[in-house]
Amino acid sequence: MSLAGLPAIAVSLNVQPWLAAVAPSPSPSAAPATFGANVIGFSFLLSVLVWAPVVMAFVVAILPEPRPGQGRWFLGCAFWTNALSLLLMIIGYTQFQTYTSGLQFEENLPWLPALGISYHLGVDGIGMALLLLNGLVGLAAVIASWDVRERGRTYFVLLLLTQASVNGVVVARDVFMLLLFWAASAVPIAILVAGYSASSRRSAAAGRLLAYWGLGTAALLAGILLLYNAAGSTSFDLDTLAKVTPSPRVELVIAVLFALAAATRLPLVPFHSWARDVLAEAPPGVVVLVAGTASRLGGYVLVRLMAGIAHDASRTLAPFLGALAALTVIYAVLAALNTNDVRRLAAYLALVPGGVTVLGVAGLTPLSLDGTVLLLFAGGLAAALVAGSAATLAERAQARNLGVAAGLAGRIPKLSWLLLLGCLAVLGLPFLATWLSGLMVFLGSFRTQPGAAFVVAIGLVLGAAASARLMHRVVFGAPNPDAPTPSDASLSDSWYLGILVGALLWVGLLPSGPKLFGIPVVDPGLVNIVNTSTADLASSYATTPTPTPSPSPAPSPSASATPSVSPTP
Amino acid sequence: MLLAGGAHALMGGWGLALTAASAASASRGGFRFDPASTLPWAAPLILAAPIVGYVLVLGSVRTRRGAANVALGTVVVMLAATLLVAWARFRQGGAYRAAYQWVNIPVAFTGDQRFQGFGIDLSLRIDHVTLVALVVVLVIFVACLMWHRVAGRGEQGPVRFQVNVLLLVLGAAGVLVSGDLAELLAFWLLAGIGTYLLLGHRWGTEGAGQRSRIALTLPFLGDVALLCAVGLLYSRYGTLGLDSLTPVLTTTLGVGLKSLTVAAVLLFAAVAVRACVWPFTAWQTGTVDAPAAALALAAGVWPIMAGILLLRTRPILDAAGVQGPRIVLYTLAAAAVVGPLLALVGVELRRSILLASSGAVALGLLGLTYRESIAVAFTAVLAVAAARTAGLLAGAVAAGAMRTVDLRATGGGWDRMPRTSAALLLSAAVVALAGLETAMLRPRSWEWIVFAAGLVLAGVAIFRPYFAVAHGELRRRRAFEPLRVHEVQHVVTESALACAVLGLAAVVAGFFTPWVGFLGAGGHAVGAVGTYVLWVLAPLAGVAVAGLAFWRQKDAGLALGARLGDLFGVLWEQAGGLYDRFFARPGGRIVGAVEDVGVPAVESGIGRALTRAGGLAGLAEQGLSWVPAVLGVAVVLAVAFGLLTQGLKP
Amino acid sequence: MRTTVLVPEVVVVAAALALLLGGRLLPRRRWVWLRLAALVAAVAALGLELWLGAAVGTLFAGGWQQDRFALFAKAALLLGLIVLVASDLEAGDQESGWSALPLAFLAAFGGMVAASATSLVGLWAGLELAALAAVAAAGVVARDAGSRLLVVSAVAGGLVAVGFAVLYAMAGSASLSALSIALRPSAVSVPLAFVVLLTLTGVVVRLALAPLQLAMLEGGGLSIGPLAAGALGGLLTGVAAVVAARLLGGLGGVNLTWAPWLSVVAAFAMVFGGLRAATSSSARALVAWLAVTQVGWLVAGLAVHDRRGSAGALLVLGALLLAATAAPALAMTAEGDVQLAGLRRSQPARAAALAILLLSLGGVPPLAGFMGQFAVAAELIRSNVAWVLAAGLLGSLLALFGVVRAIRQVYLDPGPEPARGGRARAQVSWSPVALAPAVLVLLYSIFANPISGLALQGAAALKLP
Repeated sequence: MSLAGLPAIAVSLNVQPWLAAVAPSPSPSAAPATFGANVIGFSFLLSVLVWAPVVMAFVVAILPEPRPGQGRWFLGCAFWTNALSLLLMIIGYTQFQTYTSGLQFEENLPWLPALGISYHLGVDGIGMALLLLNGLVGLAAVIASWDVRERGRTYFVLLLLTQASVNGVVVARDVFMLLLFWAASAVPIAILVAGYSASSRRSAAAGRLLAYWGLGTAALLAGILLLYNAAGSTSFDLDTLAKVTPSPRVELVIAVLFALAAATRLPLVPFHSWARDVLAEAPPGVVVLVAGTASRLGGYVLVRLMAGIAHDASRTLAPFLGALAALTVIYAVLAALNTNDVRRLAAYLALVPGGVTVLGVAGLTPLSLDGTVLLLFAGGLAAALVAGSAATLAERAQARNLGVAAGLAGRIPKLSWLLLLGCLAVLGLPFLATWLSGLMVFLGSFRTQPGAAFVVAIGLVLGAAASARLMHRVVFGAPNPDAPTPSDASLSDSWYLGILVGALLWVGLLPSGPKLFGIPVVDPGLVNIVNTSTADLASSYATTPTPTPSPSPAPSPSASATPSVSPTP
Repeated sequence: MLLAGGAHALMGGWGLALTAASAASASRGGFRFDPASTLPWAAPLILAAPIVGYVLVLGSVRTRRGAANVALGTVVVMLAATLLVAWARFRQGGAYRAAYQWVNIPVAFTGDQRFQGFGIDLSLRIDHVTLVALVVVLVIFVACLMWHRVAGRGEQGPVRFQVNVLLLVLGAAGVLVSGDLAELLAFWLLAGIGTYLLLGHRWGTEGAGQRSRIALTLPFLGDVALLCAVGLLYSRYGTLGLDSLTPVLTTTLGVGLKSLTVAAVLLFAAVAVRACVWPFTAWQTGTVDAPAAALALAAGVWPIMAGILLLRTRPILDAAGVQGPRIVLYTLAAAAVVGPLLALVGVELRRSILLASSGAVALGLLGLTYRESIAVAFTAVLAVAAARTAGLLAGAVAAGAMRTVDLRATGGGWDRMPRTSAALLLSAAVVALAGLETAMLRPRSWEWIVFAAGLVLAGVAIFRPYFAVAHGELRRRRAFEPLRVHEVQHVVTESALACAVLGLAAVVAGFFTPWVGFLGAGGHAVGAVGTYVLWVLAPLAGVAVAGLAFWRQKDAGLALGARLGDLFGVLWEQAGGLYDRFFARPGGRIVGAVEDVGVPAVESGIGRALTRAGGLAGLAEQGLSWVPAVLGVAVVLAVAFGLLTQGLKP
Repeated sequence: MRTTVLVPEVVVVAAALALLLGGRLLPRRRWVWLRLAALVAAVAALGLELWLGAAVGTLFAGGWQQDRFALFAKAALLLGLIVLVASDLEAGDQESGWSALPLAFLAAFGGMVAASATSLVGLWAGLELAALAAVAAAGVVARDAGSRLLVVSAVAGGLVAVGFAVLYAMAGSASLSALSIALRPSAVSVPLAFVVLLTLTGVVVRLALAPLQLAMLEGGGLSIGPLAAGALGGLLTGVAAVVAARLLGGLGGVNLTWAPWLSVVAAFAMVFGGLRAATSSSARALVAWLAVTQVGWLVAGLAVHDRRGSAGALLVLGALLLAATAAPALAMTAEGDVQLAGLRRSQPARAAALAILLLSLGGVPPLAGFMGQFAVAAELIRSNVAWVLAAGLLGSLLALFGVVRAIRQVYLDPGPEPARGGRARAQVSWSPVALAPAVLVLLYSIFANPISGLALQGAAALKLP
């Protein structure tokens, strides 16, 4: 038998170009911007962040059944995976160059060249912010799952797979990859909800989640394929698709499909019932993950795909999005005012940041888009904080009815304060990250969508009323003598909620990062990092009726690094 | 005139004395101290100190005394820093400005240049008005903290109380020194949260829960109005700096009166709600059961912050055409009359003091809207703020000693608690007289009626509780022995007295031209007593009416007040019922219907339909014989599509 | 072209005969060796196909054609055969059903014949051989099932035979190339359309035969055994798909005539399969209906009638063969349906493999099924048949419910508690053989690039526009 066939096989299998391409493109983040630069400098950072959880999930899946004394093996694997991922993210964050709007830590390998699909990963400012959010919330979610002992193996496998898929959506620069990870996150979360909730509504919650997320995935797929078709069916690469100019009708359809995908995931009313059930029924770890990151991906798609690609259609849709944002906020807080379930109330409050996020996209001004991305980060933390603390409090108080879980401040002060802080974070407490991002959204939105901004603001007042109702009963009110004895937050509870609060505070107090004599130290500043890419993204929305283009950005009013003192004596 | 001249000499002399110290030391050639050199650290210290104190108390202090000491020390340091800055800026009319960059990003590279960059600076803008306001606010804080150290010893959560006080003082100081609208909004909200936590401080009871609810929701309405105003202004002018905003208010293309009017009304809404003038008084009158020091702080500090906000944003009000100022005028006029009127309804001591003084606050704020009376009106606001703090602190002492807040059961204050009664008297006098100077400067048009009515009613309303507490007989009650009632420790009454004296000083200062010049906020003092003295009759008439009513028909008058109070309570409940019936419940029903019926119905309908379809398919699959079924379908489809497909079309 | 290209076919036939004889000669306790030998033979056949089949050319005066399509189709069928045999090793029933093994090889051989056919005769022969072998495989285990399957199979075969005969009569030649020359759009008449559509109906019945029948048999309480189910549900479906692709290649000139019909069939299969998958009660039925959904995607790809659409269909075909041949064996035992609850404890490897195969059949990313479905979806949009895509997405969404329910049962439902810890540990099966199909499904998406490249070349070989 001759070997003549071998090259023929090679040709037929078309492997050479694929193999030849397996060489990472160098990351542009070689030159450090701040401390921490070049602590690591390999080109597969993003791949590691995406696939390490998958590998660890596999390891956890095949670990031998632990002996009685080793019940925490699975938790340990998940914890260290997340801790190391977060460390890598923080190092990547400190290395992030704030003076370029290009992709960083880029990896680009052809995967399915026939279809124009490539394994293209990379982060810009928006991606970096969300990646960091995923790292923080992921770690918090694992710590929040400290008490999961029964069927721990499956739980942590699913948790790790979810985290991997969420990271994947954020770093994907090929919309096929984005869709792949987007869709992949639904199944593990649905199984987590269906399998690890003590409530009898868990099946309904999982079913709703699957149905709505499936609908969103279908819409996203259809939108992506329409875009791909408009691009001549040559490439799924985001950079290529961003340059596509389909016919106005097609562009509008694409934008509507993306908006639908976002509305089911963020979620917006009337696609919110899954969130109400999942956040109110799932265990704290899952709640933190869903409210903190998985649902933020809706906003990410709205910014990245709809506002980033379909400019004219976005302008057309902006008023409807504004109305949807207003409806979501008003409806969520009204619903919160009408429930007596602590967890449900918190779940409704957790919908508010999503509504404000969409208001920012509807604003379609550079500032509102900047604020939107920041709010994806801050709102994720706030939603995770309020929903997570309510879930933990309900667990510790062994009650979730406002009449029973009442007057807990004196008995479980830590959890009560954290719940209070969560509510205030949702409302935009100054010097928490939500305040600055919310302010940017409002300042930007008032230019183009004043009506929606006003209504959302009124919604915030009603939100305050809902929070006050929660606080009235749970924190300040009279204790219920018939209620079971509550126990305050355990060490793990304090840690996971502390991580969320710490991140909110850090970004809220130092949005531009700490500076020593005007020089950034350690943290280049989340605002600056986000702004590296939002400025480009928003450039097409920056024009006003009387445009006055200028080559360089104008500095902020009276912005000066050193004190400027008025006439001295 | 002589009075004014003497005062001028006095002020000038004080100024000279202050500067002479540095000049003399400079001339000696030894130690040279230029107070201006302290500005770069003294001004930021005003904000840095409460942050440090907050972190200290929150992080490490665990004892009541330690927390109280740190809080008091922090406020004293702030006061010292303020006085140092005041010394340095005594002769400078302009504001001291310093800006520390917090956020500064280029958000766009094209388009309108105003919106290409976004920045929020931690900017300090300290002028004489700010300094005076800071001094008064900080003295109020010191007084309340001193009062609470002793009188609030038994209060729950002592450390928590001090933490929240520090949060409030940080917010208050921040609002007063802010030169940037976003920064002002941040500190405004921070102070709001501090107030909420202070008013809801006592927890574990249904009443505390209710108080916390009112204290968060209602004021937040004003806070969000401020947020909207800031958003609207930025969206039109692209700047957040108070100094950079003023010059472009009327010169920016595309910004009309409509935007300015809306912004002005929103700003005023924030002012009115937080200054707690009628009809926004519920968040204070509904939380009178909060710790006395907390209530006094909220009632004393917020009018000053609101006044500063109104003062800073006056240019917007001026530029807002006719409608904006008219809305402000009518609202404040109504508040100046209705507030004191409502104070006559009911016999709850603290509520009476709050409502009576809310009329005086409204008069002060009204004065701020007139160019010629800005300085005296602001002084009046300061005076009322200090005086109502004193009144509430003294009232709380008296109520504590007499073990009742019901004016019908109090009395005999001068016999048993003279210093407390003196503080009450002083505070009442200040509240009654505070609006006087502004009235003297506003003789024109119909507004004098408002001032006259306001002054009379304020006099009646504020002296009513004074008479009820300080005079008359303190009757024996069940388990209460009047003879055991006696004056409390000095430090407690002196705290109240200090505030009252401060208020009185402010009222007096308003008569002096140099003071008005020192404030530099515009307007002028009462040039000469002259015919203006007639205005003094208004408050005096009020006091006289209150006195007459008290001595002639004390019990009947108070009983009438009590009945009216009960009636008002019933009306209030009815109004609440109407709100509940026409807004809350329908809203709840709608949301409930959508949330619990509509959405699930749609979802389960779709689910059921799909399940049924699946089930039917299953039945068909089992019931049907597949061979004819497949053949039948194939033939039908074949014929249909064979006939319809485009291959057959010509 | 050298005749060595036929070696894989020879190996498959020889293996079938050897298994037949071995089954007769060897005692039952040695049959496990027969199964291992079958696995080796199948692997060898695949290796040889990849080795030798890359050569392009014709044999027997153009009666036998080896092109990229043939290479892809044969490789996919042999891969399906491998996972079928591997999963049969895992299925646990070592005592009966062995005689289905040679029949599975024969079914694969029928597919190989159809893949290389250049005429209607070759296509018909290959299809019928595969169908008979698969039906017989079911029949040897359950006679009643076999007889019912035989009737439906005969009807489908009849439709195909009649259709082919009329086509031959119209074209004057049985050659597919002659057919594509003879049939022009102008030549399309109502009788032609009718006949071709009946022919395609026959092929489609064959395509969906196994899954539909599997589900029906499950409903009727008949068990045809894992091997036969795999042969029916996977191999025969694959062979029918190969025949359909070849036939449509031959009808290239007038394909648009029946495109809407195929689209309707595809949409029907996707939605119907999804509906039944979402509501099916047993693992076997779930697998069957998921396969129907996948078949719908495959047909939708073929209905596009161009290279890229057919390439997408071939990608689906590969994934379908991998999952649909192995899944029945993992989803059922000799007693009937496998007990999903508690499977995680008793047979972790089988549980994991079954979960991955179900996810792939459900089209969940990033597994093999999703890759093919996505390629087809892209082509559906490009061809402006978005309504088919909508139906497909609805079907996949519905199918997802069934998949998640099954996985939840496998991993989260406690199931029967083992009596004693020690014995329970002893009962746990870690057989790695079960993981082979799952690993292949994962590798399919990882190596999607060379596979899709080959699929494109295969579609090009069909000479579609």
